[in-house]
Amino acid sequence: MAGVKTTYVVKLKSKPTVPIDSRNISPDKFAGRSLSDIKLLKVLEGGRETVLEELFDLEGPTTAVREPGEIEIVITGPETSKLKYLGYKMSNGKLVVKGDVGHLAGYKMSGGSIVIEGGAGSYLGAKMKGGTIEVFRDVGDFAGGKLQGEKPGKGMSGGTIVVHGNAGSQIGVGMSKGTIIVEGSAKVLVGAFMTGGSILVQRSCGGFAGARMTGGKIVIGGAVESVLPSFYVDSMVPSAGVKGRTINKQFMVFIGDVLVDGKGMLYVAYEDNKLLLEQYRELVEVALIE
Amino acid sequence: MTQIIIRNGLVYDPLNGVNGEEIDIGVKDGRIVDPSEINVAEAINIDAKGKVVMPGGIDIHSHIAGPKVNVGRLIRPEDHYLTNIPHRLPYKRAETGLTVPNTFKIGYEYARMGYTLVAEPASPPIKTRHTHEELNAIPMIDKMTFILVDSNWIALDLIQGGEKEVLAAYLGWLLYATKGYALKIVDPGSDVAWMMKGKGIDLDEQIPGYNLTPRDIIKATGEAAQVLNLPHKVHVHCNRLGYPGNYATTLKTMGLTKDITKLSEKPVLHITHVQFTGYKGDSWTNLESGGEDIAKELNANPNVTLDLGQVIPGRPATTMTADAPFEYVLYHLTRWKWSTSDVEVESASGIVPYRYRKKNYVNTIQWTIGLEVALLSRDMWRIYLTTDHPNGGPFIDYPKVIAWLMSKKAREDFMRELSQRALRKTSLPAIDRELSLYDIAVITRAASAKLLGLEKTRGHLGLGAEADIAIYDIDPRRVDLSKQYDKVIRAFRRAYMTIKSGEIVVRNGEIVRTTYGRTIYVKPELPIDLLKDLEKMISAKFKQYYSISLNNFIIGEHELKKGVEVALKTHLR
Ligand SMILES: [Zn+2]
Repeated sequence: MAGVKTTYVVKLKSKPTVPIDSRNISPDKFAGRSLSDIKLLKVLEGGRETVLEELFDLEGPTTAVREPGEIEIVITGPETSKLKYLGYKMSNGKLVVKGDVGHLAGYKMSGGSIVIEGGAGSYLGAKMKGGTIEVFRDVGDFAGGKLQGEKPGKGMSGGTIVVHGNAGSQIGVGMSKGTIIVEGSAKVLVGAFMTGGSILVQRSCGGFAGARMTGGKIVIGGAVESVLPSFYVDSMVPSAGVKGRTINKQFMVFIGDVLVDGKGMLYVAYEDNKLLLEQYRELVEVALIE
Repeated sequence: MTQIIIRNGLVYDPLNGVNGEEIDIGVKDGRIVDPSEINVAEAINIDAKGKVVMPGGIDIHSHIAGPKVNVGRLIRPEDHYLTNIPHRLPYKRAETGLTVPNTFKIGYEYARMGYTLVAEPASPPIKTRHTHEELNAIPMIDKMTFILVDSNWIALDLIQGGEKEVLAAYLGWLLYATKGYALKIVDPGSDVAWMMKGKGIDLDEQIPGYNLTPRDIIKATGEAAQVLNLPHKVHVHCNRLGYPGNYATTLKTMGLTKDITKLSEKPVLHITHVQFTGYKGDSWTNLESGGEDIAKELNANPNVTLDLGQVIPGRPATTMTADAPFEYVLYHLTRWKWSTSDVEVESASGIVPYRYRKKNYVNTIQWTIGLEVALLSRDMWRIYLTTDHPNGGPFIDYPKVIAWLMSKKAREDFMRELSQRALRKTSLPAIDRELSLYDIAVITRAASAKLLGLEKTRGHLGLGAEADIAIYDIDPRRVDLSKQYDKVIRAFRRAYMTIKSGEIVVRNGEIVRTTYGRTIYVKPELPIDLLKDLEKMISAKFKQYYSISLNNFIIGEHELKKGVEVALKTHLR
């Protein structure tokens, strides 16, 4: 990404009452356009089609640079949580949201970065191919996931999502590549149907982590509700991590999901799940002695 | 009501022998009238100069309604992503879906292609209330549904007992009770075999639990249809569908017409989506096309008709059929999603998403079979254009099929993208025939109306006919149809104008008004004495077999949004 040269500030005029499809608020759409053209970009307010300037105040240079990579857009307002599809298919540049966002932020993005200073709805970074997303508070379900009904591997295929808060269920569902880091905890079905890539949940998660995964890596640094019986225990390791984030404690390593002939790796923190994992410990130790 | 006069159009109206002549057409009160009856000052004047005028299209086989379509929607949310088109009030509702579209989209897309009547070809009787609910919800077109009777326990008991009269009366009663239009047989006997033994059966294999073979079912049902004087005789999906080598079964099934006593002039059996039952060879690896052999039998046997079930490589499809054993096999080939179900007393079914791939050997063979049958057939009045929507491909691809049939160049250009190994094994590349616009009008409307027994009022533009009209923006005098096939596709995909029952519903390929068509069903007249005995028999069988009561089974006339009854004089005494 080239350095940011120009910044636009897009401010909601008032608190919206219906979802706003704001996919056109993106460096790719702004690039090369004059401010007056940008103001006329389409948005959907509920089912009604209108233009940006009707809902937002815009500030910035009168003509945007041609390179999306040199554009930063700051989105503010009294209440930004109804904005959907922010950063849809964006390829470069930077989006900063001074608050929450709704569903499908960063959907299918391929590059650039999105920083959300609040939380995000469901499908954050779903089907993204590249770039980075950073969220300061909690996110909903299906972060980095595929859409319902699609085949495994159709989820996120590159890039990084970092969530400083907690995440909902099915994060990384069907992902094939890329990284998801959740510093809080996550709900059920972490990394279900994943075929590759890696997920780190620093704290606890719900049950069924890695269900039907065929590849990739999941690291759970806290308590898990259960480990699926279709995972084989492999070994114990003194630390685990993804992408330079390492958690220095004992992890038990599982391989699965054997129901789908999977070779995914599931790392579960040992001390936090001692009651659950003790039964496996013997298996690992017997293997070591032999 | 609206008066319309269409001037200077090139009219293709095969039922009246009109082949591309400039004739003016008047429309008044929903009917075709002589232009002199039109009050020109009040009428809508349409200048169709340089455009083609045809009767509204009629699709004799397209799975558009019923529980299986709905389950298809449920298991395929991905079929709906990216296809959403918002509503445009007050005249157009939201559209979604590709292979299993919502009801609105089904109606709109047919209307946009100039179609005005569509038959849902497979509804198990007990599920037909749902089928009608969905047909009620489909806008724009007229519709009808065929009733599945291939593995019906009551019918099987009667066939086994040799009670021909009672069987005919029962099937007649069933058609009226479910507000159906015709009888459909899918892989006869196989759903019984599937439920009892977990396998499908061939034409001459015994049905478990009965002293019968599928051949007996087709023959008995075929004769019952004759006795009932049904406007559309029996609609047959052959045994062994989807298995290599099944063309032999199809040929034998076509030959069954000899064994059925004819009581009317019309063809005796309709073999549906023949592509799926036209496979030569004994495994998938040496699969070949049986298209030539089937076309030969069709040409020799005037008592049989065929629809193509053309596959569309490069498009997703959702296979859905009452042929449950076939779907079991298909699921194990695709290993993704599968819905399967038993329908008490009557049938079974399965649904599996599928994609026909251009480079795939088997899919290429499949593509050639449908086209071979059409191009080698000498009598265009006995073949019909279908994709067995959504089994071979979505119905919105009919214009592509039309282009393949009309243009050798269209076929050659497409063949370049297909499996060359497969093409070397077929006769299609050597076929030069190109159908004319007249032929297309035959296989998409005139012959279809005749097959359904509606040729008096549908499928033509003669005086008194239902004013269902399609106008396509293509001029065969200026466009070389065999070379500029992309123009053919464009013209047929979006009609310049569609008139449904005398009202303009599509202009320039877009919906301008939402209307709701009629649902046509038959009422065979049954002698009172026979009916009394029959009702006694049926209510006893119902208690014995069904989990619901007879009263809840019968569909009332009020349950159809706009029902149209066709009363039939039968040969029952
Ligand atoms: Zn069918």
